[in-house]
Amino acid sequence: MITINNLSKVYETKKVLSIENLDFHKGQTIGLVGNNGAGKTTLFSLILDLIEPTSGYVSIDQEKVNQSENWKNKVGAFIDETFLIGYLTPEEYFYFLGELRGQSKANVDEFLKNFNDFFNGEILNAKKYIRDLSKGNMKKVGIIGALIGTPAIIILDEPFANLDPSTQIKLKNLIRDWSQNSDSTFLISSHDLAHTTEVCERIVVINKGELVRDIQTSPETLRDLEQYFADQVLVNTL
Amino acid sequence: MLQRFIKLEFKSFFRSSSLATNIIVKIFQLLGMLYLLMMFVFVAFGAFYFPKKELHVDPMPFISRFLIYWLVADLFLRYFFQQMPTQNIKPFLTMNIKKNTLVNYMISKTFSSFFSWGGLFIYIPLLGILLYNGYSIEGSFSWIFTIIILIFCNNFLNVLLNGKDIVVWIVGAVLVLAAGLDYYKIISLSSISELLFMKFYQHWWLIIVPILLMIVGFMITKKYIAGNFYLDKGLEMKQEVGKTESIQFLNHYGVLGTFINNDIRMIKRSKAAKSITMGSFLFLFYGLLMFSSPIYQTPYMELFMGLFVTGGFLFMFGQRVPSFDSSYYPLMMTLNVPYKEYLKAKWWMIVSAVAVSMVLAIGYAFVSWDLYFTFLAAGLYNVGVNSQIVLLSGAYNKNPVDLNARGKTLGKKNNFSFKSIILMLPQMVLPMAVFAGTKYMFGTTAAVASLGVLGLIGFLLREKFFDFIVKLYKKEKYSTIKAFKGN
Repeated sequence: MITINNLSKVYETKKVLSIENLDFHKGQTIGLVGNNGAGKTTLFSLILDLIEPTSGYVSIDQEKVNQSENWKNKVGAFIDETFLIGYLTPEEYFYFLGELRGQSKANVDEFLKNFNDFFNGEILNAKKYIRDLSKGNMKKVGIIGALIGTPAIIILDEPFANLDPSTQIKLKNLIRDWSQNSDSTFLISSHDLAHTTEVCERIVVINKGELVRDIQTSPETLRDLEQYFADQVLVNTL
Repeated sequence: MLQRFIKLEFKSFFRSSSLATNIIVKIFQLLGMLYLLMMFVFVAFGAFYFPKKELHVDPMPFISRFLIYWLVADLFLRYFFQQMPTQNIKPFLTMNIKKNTLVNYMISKTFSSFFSWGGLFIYIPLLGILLYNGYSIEGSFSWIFTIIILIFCNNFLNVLLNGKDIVVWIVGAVLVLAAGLDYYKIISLSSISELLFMKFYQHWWLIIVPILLMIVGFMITKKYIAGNFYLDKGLEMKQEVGKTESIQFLNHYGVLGTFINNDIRMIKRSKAAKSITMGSFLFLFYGLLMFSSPIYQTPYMELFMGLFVTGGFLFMFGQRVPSFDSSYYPLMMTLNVPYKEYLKAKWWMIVSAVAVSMVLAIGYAFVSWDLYFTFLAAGLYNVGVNSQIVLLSGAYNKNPVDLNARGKTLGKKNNFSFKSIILMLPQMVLPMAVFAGTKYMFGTTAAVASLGVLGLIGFLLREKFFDFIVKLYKKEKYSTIKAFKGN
């Protein structure tokens, strides 16, 4: 579904991303891990055509993202608060997204019923504009917003960050159920190795802009990853 | 400590991502200020010599009559145009700086506003003129400094009134009412004003009263700011109760209706959008300029005014499309947004505003029907042509808009790109030339018709025009996303 080909991004003299080849297939749930500055958000921005690559391209279903707009029908994304419209209430925001994804208000209402537990009563009918919600609640709005219309590809940048422990567990379950019961492709970046290994069937590790690991998740994966990052610390202190 | 604060201010200015624009804006602001300061000096001379030479009255009582109005008007203007220094204090709150120091810093920042010291360029020269003309030294000093100190008290009052819009509007209304009553000699606030201020000249030791007022004002303001120096009080935005709402009939128009609904919500709920919209309402009064000098009574200048009278919202809002959406531009770029519908929604809002202005401008018919028809012609041109050109101009405008900024952005001009100036030609120069030319040769009716025809042509071509703007949005996508990120 998503093909990354000879992709690189250079800012002034610094090469922040360089990936020769990476394919994400339909139905996969992929976790993207790496340290800060590794290039995860850059990669997402390139996939979503928010920045121009210095070389190479990203294509979704064989169409390059910077040449066609068809991919917008297929992708739901939540990267940061620039994906939220602060002056709307959560309901208005969801209806807006629904409208653009061909979902009627009734459809959206029906869909949102699935998340009453996730929302914990603080989002819907909360009488607040999105800009006045707590950071964690804003996150929730963004994540669920990305799911409206059940797009084929869902991209979430660090969804677990800023969420309280209970919500993190709820989110994990949500993603797991979702990926099992549909053939949506999930692309999730995270700093949390434990969550990522629990939820994702494939893990891609990026370090300093380069692809260093691409593994199918197994019971040993968590330990392997922890070892990898521990080694990185040693390497950097030597 | 103050030095450190100043250094930080400099760094904040020079490291801002829109520095280039900011510098240009600052230069224009500086030039504007210098011009105003020169004007102020002339005002000082005029205020003295006009009553003396033309009206043959003693200038001092004459000026005193207007002082109460002057003070209230100053307060009114400041309230809407002077920035409050509440932002950027947050990081200092937990640092090893005494709260007292921060409060003093905030108060002194209000004195650095042009509104506080600009007036000195009127009062000090006026003092000089008084002394030169032989008025008593103590009396003149007392009189002038009373004015200056009361203006400072206005500064404190402005801080205390911050956020209480209602009070200020009431004050403004009372002022206008009082002026009216005065003019028709029913109740004369100006005689009271004259008596009051002349006392300060006659008994110079009365200056102690304003001085005391200022000290008290300072203490009250200080107490107020210190008391509100908490995140859930004065330093952050008040949270409003959120209402989920929409304009029902718009829901029948699909995506177009949704976009319009969102824009209306944005205007209702965001400080910046709201104040820009309110400000554009003030343009309806732009036509009153006509009374200020004969240069405005020529056909092409009348059309110029008409373009603004009917096009206040067009220019203020249209220039900021898509900048108003800068804080969620990445969302708009990754969603399946039909750009043409997006543009059409903005276009409908602009055109509706022009139509409403054209109706409201009927007030100008009291001046002359000819003037109103001129304004109508401008409106037609605005509807048909400028509504689209301004959207084009906005596409080149890459200044992000912080919707939550205490929107006193009317004083800032943020569009000085070369392209926007070029676009002024078809927006203003062309209709002015066509109108004036046709009127000269064939009279008013023909002139109005000529602009109506141009407007109609523009209206018919709008689909093509929107296509062009959509292409532009796509072409400028990456640089716009980058520009909107910075703050």
